[in-house]
Amino acid sequence: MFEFEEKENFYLARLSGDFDVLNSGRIKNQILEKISNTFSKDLLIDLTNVSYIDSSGLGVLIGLHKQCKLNGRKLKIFGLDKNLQELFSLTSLDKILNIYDTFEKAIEE
Amino acid sequence: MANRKFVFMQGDEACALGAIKAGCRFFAAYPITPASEIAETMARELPKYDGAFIQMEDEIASAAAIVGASIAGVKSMTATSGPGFSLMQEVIGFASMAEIPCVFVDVQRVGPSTGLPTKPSQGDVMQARWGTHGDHPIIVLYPSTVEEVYRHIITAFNLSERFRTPVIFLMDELLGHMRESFYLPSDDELEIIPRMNDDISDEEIYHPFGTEMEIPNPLRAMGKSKFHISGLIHDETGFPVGTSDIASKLLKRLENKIKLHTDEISIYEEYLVDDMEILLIAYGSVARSALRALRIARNDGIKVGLFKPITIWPFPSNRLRKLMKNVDAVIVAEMNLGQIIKEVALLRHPGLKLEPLNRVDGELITPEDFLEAIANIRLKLNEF
Repeated sequence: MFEFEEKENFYLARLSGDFDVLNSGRIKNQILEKISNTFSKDLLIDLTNVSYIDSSGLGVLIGLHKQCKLNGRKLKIFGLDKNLQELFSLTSLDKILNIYDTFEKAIEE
Repeated sequence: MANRKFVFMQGDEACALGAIKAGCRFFAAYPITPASEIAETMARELPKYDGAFIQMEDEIASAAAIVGASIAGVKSMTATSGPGFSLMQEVIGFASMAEIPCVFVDVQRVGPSTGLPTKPSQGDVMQARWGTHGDHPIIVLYPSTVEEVYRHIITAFNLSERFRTPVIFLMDELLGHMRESFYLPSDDELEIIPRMNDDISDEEIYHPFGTEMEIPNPLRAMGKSKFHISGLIHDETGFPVGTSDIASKLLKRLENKIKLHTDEISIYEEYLVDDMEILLIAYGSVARSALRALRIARNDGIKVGLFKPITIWPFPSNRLRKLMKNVDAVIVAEMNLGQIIKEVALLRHPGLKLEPLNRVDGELITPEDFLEAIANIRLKLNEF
């Protein structure tokens, strides 16, 4: 599942369910379509309702992070449950990606 | 979960590490996409367990090497993809006839021939059953998640030891190359059948093929015991005997040692089959899409169920026949042009709609493909 909102200073994509090989490519294309491939604002991704991410889902997040960075923007991820926190820690992505506990903290910065 | 390790593991890596957990201490292979990471992991990890890794000159030699290692008393495995799997068939036949436990991994890619090395396929499921010549028994497992790869490569070794037979472990490019997170099973959760490695005294007569039942005595290490092994028709001593009654008796016993234990060997998963009207049958990576489609269809009130065989051979016919009795339609999804569907067709009752869902373009059958197939079959059912 995928929901998208455009705010004044950022884009917000809310994902739910599994983010994996079965939908990661489609979700990536949907996000790129919504932002018209411009990366003119920071991109926030809400993973509160995501229970599982595999390598293809992580690949999409890394790709979006790189594209944001190239355009002087930030990819901000928030709402990780315990398993996802463990996954991001195990893969050291917590040191590379901008991860926040909550939406409020993500927009604070 | 406290004493279980959380991992993020590639399918090929899980295959190698699970094999080592199962007691595999010898691995011989020739590199091939998409199975090379199994060899890479084995080359790195096996020496830590006093095991041996060897890169052979080709797949025929690799297969022969693992059979030799097993005869010498070591659990062994090789891993390849379609082209190499074709080359291994003669040795698989020898291992079957000589009843040598060993594990052959085939990470399937699109074929025939060199095909599409970096794309997944399920084109080898029939080759896994009938690739070698002659009537022979075989056990074939095919998981659909990385965690299942880790768990069921251990099952493959156990079945191989228990039934003294080569076991084929199928994967596909997608499963081999993807990474997933899961908790490694603790030692308490795992049952591992050990290889008997004790010495046999000079007085003891060991008959490696002697049995009153279908399953022969556990294999003892050659060198620690004296016995003969042949690919020819043989008696309980292992020496060749060319008589027709022995030939018939041996081939029927080989067949029966698997066939009569199908229920013990069969591993499968079922989802929402109690009230289903349409049954999906999917295995390997395709089962992932089937499960996703099932959830979406159920949310829409469509009564769909899923049967996911992990043991592909012997085919779980008894269970499927029962499940199919109560449904109007069955969809068999495969990344080939229709192989397992032929087995399913043998079980259909009159009036049952049996629909194939196939892709051979190197892309995974998607949940959307399933939903379209479900919609189409509902339309057909409503026409009657």
